[in-house]
Amino acid sequence: MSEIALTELNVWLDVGFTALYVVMVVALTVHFFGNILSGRIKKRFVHKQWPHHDGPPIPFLPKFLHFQHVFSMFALGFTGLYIRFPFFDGGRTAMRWIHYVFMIIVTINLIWRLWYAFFAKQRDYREFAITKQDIVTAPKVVLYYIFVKSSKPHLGKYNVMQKGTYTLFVPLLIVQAFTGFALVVAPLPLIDMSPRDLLLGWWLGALLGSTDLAGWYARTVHYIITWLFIILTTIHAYLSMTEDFPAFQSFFGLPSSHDSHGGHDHPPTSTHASGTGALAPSMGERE
Amino acid sequence: MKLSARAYAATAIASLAFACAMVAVHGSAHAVEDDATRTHVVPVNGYDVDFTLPTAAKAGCMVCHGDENLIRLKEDGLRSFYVDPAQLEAGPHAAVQCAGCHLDFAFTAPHVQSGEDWQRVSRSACKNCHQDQNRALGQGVHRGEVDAGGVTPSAETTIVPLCGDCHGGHDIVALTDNPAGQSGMHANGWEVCGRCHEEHWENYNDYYHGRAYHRGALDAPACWDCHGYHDIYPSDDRRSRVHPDRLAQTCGACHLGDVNEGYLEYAELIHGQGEMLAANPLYSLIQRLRSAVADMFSR
Repeated sequence: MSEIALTELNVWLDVGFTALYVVMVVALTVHFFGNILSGRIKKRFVHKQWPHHDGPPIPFLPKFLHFQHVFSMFALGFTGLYIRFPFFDGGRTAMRWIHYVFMIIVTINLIWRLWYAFFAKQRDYREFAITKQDIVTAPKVVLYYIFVKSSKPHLGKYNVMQKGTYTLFVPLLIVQAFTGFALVVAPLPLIDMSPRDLLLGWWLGALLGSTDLAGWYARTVHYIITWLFIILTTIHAYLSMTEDFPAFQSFFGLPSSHDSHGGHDHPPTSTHASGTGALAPSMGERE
Repeated sequence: MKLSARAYAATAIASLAFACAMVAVHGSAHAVEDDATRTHVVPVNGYDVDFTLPTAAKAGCMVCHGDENLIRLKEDGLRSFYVDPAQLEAGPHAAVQCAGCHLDFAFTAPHVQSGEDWQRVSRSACKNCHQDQNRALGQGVHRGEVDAGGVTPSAETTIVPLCGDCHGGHDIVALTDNPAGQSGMHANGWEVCGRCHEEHWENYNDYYHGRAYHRGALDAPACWDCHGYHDIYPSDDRRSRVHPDRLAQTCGACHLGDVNEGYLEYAELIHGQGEMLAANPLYSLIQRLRSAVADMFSR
């Protein structure tokens, strides 16, 4: 990619992602009306027929990490977009510092959640593994979301689209953390090298002939992933509220109507994965 | 403002003289200059005044100009001739006499007899003390009138800014070793450059420089951080700090200094992002769609 393309690429990204976000919001609005017309909203919010929640209650830790993650990601998205497109006066210094603070919180959160997923007593990494059965039933899940089918296959806590999305969050967060730290140019104490020098200077900087140019690439990747997070979490928030509101309430410590619901919209099957908790949501099949 | 005994006496005498002058009417013109006190006695047209005021201290001028009600009706409406004494005292030129900048001052009313534009004279009088800056300015694109040997700049090239146009007049602030003054100047980009270079002010709108600067970011570069000051050259002049040959040095001042050709492509965005956006086919399509939708609902 030539450097001039990088300049134009940034403009393309602004226009493309903004347009994509608008299209997505319109699509979600249409989907919501589809939920109303198909009677799903009535079934869920009036007749309290929410997805079946199998397994024991979600432990506190994944809920806490999820809540912390939501708050931090919102703060990072807001401040990050402000840094690129300042939309009010005089906030750059404050926005940067807030971004730095939450950057550290999210990084710690990520490490903590990965540890929980793989090494904790209640480790839940298997919940996210995409099985052959998931792939086979994937078209049915898609057909459910586009209102062609009235129910989706219940294979475990999460359907294939959820598993794919939540698993994708991990590498995205890792790359986002890497590129984010690579944007810091303030020298670290004692070593007189910046995080950018340490993370990019010796390889990408050397390859491109400029650590600053490497930083520009990192910034562009960081920006792309920011938009991916904004889009994916908007969809995630929409679906979590419309598909499984009790789980949404539970995850934020709100009084849940889950226990008083009148029934399940589909019965549990025998292929539930073991363990509890989730990288993003939890309890039953939810968004 | 605390006045010394001498200044107080001078003010009292000046006030008395001014009061007398207001009632005295002199039909014939005559002028007397006393070199010792540099006072003038000149009857003039308009508001017929015959008075003497000491200019050895500001007290003389401030008798009138320290009055907030000193206004005159000009062609373009009421104009104030008030000078805030506190502002003068707080500035870097507290010790400079009024006539040190108002070089063509004549102790008459009106104060200028020669028909010169007294504002232009005062705005370029800085060169008498700030010679290095004046020399630098005299080399750059803003040199128009300040490299003339005489005190009074030529009136033809009125478009070229004078020192006071950028730095201000009575409200001038010290910049050297004065972070508060530098910060004030930094925030003043519109007054300093923007009001003349409106197009460049508007299109200084890239992500991390222009937009941030317009939103008051203290670490975003002001115009002169890239283009320089005093010795500013057109960007196609090789001496210009923003000439392609010097961009590495200019950008490298903030960007660690290892900027290369690839990185410098970003410079295109600094004043060109709006243009690049307008040329983007997807953006054009969205704009057309927006217009079409707006038209549809406006019918």
